[in-house]
Amino acid sequence: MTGDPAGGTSGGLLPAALVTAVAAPAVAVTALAGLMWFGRARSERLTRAVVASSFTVVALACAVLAGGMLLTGHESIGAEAGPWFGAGEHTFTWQLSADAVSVPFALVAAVLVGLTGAVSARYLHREPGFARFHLLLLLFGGSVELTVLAGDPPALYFGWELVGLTSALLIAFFVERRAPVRHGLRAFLTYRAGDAGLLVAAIWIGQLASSPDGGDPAHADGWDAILTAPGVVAHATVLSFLLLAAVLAKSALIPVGGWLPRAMEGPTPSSAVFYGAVSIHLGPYLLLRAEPLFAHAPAARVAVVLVGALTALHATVVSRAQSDVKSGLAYGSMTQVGLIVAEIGLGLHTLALTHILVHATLRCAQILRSPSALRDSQRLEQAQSGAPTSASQPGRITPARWQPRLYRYAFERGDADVVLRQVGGAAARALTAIDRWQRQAAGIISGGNGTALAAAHSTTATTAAAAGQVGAASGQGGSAGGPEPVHGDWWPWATTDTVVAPAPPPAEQALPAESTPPAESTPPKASSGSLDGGAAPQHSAPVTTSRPVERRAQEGSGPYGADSYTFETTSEPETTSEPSPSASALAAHQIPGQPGPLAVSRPGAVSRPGDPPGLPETTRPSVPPRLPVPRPAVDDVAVASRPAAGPASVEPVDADPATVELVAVDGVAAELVVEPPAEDPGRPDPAAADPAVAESVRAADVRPAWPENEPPRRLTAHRDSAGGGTRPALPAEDRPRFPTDVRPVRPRAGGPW
Amino acid sequence: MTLAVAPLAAATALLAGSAAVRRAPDARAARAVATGCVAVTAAAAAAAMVAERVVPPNGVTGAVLFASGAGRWMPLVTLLAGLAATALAPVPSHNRRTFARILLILACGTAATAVTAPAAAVASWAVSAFVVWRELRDGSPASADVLPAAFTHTDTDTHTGAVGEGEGEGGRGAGRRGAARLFGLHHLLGVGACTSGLLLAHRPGTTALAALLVTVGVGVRQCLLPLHLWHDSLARAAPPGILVAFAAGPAGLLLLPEITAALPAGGPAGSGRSGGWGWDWGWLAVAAALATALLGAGLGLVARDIRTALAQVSLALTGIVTCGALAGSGLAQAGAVVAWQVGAVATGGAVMIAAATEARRGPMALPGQGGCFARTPRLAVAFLLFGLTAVGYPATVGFIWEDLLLDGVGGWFVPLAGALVLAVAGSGATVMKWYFAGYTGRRDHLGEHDLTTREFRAVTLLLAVLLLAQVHPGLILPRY
Repeated sequence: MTGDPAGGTSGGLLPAALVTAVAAPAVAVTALAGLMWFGRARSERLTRAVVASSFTVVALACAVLAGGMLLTGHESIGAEAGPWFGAGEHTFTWQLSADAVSVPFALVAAVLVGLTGAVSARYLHREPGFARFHLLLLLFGGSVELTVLAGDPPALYFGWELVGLTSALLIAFFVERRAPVRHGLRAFLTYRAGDAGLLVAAIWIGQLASSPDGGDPAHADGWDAILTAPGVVAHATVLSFLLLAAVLAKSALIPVGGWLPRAMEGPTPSSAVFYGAVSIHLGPYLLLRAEPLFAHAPAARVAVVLVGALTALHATVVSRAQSDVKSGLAYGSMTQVGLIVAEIGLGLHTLALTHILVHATLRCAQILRSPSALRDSQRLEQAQSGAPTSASQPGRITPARWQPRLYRYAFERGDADVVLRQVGGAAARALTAIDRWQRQAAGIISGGNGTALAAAHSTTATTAAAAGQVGAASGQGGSAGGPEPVHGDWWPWATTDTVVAPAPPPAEQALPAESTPPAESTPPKASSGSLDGGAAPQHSAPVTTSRPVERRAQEGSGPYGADSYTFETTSEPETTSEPSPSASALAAHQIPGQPGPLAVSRPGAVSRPGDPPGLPETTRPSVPPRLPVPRPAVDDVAVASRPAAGPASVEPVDADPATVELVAVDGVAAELVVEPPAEDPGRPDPAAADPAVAESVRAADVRPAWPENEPPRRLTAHRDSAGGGTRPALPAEDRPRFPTDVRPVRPRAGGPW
Repeated sequence: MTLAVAPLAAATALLAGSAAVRRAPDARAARAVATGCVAVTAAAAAAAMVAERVVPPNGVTGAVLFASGAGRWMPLVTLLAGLAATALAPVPSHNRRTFARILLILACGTAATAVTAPAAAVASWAVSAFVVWRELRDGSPASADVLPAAFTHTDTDTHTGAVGEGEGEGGRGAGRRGAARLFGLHHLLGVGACTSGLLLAHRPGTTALAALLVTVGVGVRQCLLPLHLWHDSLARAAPPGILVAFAAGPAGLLLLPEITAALPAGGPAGSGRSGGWGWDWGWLAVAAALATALLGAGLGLVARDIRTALAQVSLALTGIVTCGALAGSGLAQAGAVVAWQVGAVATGGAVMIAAATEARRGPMALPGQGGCFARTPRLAVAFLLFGLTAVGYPATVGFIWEDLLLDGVGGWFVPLAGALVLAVAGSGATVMKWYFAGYTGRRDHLGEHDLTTREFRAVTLLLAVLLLAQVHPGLILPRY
């Protein structure tokens, strides 16, 4: 390790502090990861101590750096460690640099990450994955320090990539649920696309700065020397746009900012430190760091201003239509980051840095406070007897004729996701077509019928999962005749074209023989499958005629704007072969591009977050909706758990009166516990006993009425659930795959993972 | 001609192990014998490398302990990949004969550097390809007996649908025969073309033809577009251990310089972009390698089963390695060697982890599926680490090849580096997608267990090697 001569008399201490700020989290990550791999990190106290000590050291080192620079008057402190590796004349040396831009950011980041670690120690107490969360938090903190204190582009890229990885893994922290995992993948793909620009820029800058005519060699004199080398300046515009691509992805600027509200699926502490405080500000930090480059690229600066202003405007409008606090805060963060980016583009660097630090601190605290703030807000509304909060100032000053359009824009989030979905879907279809041609060629060479082989593979691959679920070895149905399915909802921009709709199995294959035990032997878990919309409802509402599966994916309408809700009608009773008058009328008013009036069969029903709009545009409310009051998802459990009331009612045969655990996919309600009513509803099931009664139920198309003389069952939301976001149905792939052998894993003490 | 003793000794030990495996009473015993044989051989090779560094050998004429330069680490790399191929191999898809053939292929791979001549690499390639072809023709009766149709590698399901069709045993046989035919035709063409090209290279007046033949031959081995069709079907039809062992052979990397040597312009390596390449075979080969890398990265993103996805990642890495090796930059060539070393072990580990997972809970295919992370955390983490290492993610030893190769290629031709960055990014996204799709997203499970003791030891050793190698990566860097 060598210090920069600029350090003067403090050349020994300050470079050491600089290296310590980066190395301390790395050491802690190594230790904790080793303990976890060998199963020795079972103590929360140990994990907490490692995190706390690490970030205490980092914060102290950054404080020493800041104080030393203030006292000594040095503008920058440099340090290098290495060389790490090299070949020929190329060497990779860890270059670190501290200056007036990086030190305040590094200090605030260290303090916020440390405080968030302290909060999360309580927030995630006894949560499975406690150690995993803190390991990722440590890795994130170290990566941020490296990114901020990097002295050259390769080191910055090193930390930048790790920040993206930890971000994706923490969004998907609740790994047992599908939605967070999908959103983590989307964030990672967005990061990866943007990071390609950063990597190309880093390679190119390195080449240009170290070329014989590029001035001083890179890795020697810090950022200013690298970014003002003649070779670099000559290509400043292209390089600036490459860096801007990385900034767009990392800071969720338009048009790729759709991942940010979805990222709120992670634990609240990680949401606070990533998307309120630190990670989202790394993009503006990179712009500040690359200011010498942007100074020679006026076109890029104009683009920066435009992107920032448009992002701020877009996020401001969209945030007005958000119905949950974390999405609102996410768009609030996006608004502020857009403003910061615009400030940087306008050259207001000091203001931008101050804005970054203040906003990071405030937003981190705000997001950490959000769960309890939501609760307080609900109590306030209840105290006001449900009176809605007054419309905000922008709502009052907006002309009335603009309000519907603005609301629709906000509700649809500017259709940015639609565009991305179409682009992603087109790319996926093109790649799939290439794959199909290859398989045809391989089939011809191998002596078979290439066309048939390729078609066979395209169907067998997509129906394999469905076949596996129903226990049938041979897949059938599939994509013949329609757009070829690609890979379900694992493509983050899945469309109805790419989401696989497995053909409904024959009635006798709907469940394997071993998975349809007699009603009295059905375990409680199986009854929870009634939410799946596919399997368990057979117990309570036998299906006499099955319609083809109709599935729709709606993006961006969930509580975090994240879910692709799938409406399956396979198990819905067929009530009539003709569309209802109301449905016909609504179809006539259907908004182009909107899903059809699928959920309008219940007049007067309260619309749900996942429901498609059931009213024409002109009749939809034009004021921002209120925060949702937690309500039990009674409809979802109606078939499974409501008691019977009258001859037309349907009661589940096998619903466990004690506990019905429901697997939710919306990322909100992890599980719902249905507590039994005071009275034992142990009455016989007329629908199950008498098919005629069940048929009359279907003919009437009525849901079982709630008994007037029985109190409703109380639904309790668990695991910081908002409690109001369960979905009408689960995607097919979320059905329990192994109905006879479902063993939920819920370690009590968490364990290392 | 210089003879390297250690690779020969390792190959001999593996051949003896192969004979011992054939006498094992069942597949589990065969796996234990094969794992032990590979582990002992790898330990001996590592000890020999340390001994060579501590006590430099006396100058025995015509014999050295290890080949010099890039070939020094190749036997150990092949053995480490072989450790993954044997220790993590699930018994249902690997029988005694399969394990014996894995050791045979590994022996061919380690012997490839025994002689510093391209003939050794071609011979190694030819023999190992023949063994793979025999395995594809014979299939794996054990897998067909033990697992249902959807689980076997010899079926017409998600894994093998490309070249197999039909129902029942007849369809499976047709699928195996199709894969074997595709593989055999390609490699027969490749070995023949490469051998002919090498023979013609020294004859006057046949330089262009020799260059074309060598390029075609090496293109087959390196899966360069459009000679790559065998790769996907092999990945889905062959037992994973066979696939990993074959991919760990260094024949393709050793033969890549022969392309440049056979070029009419005298070879691009070291000559720079303006140093004699011209728009000839060299550019054509680089363009094919780049297209292969981009194709693998793109198809990996839309792959619908994990075997295909990892095969596409491997294809992308092969294209990247070929680009680096053919680029006129010594730095890129050093990066290509490290990329092959890291990729052979890391990709092999990821493939075998996926195979072990599939053996526990069935095929990993889209849509749906997912896994219970809480049930198999080490499997999931091992897959992620192996995968990220293979694609050059920071904080892994893969970052070293990424930095060297991309910097080297960037110094030679920046747009080519930009395209390779896209391939690297796509491959990383594929790995991450399959980590999420295969190991997370579900709460229910089959009761599948995490890594067994044998698997845990092997994975820990491989991860330790991959992670600790970045402490002092100068050891694994070849001099150029």
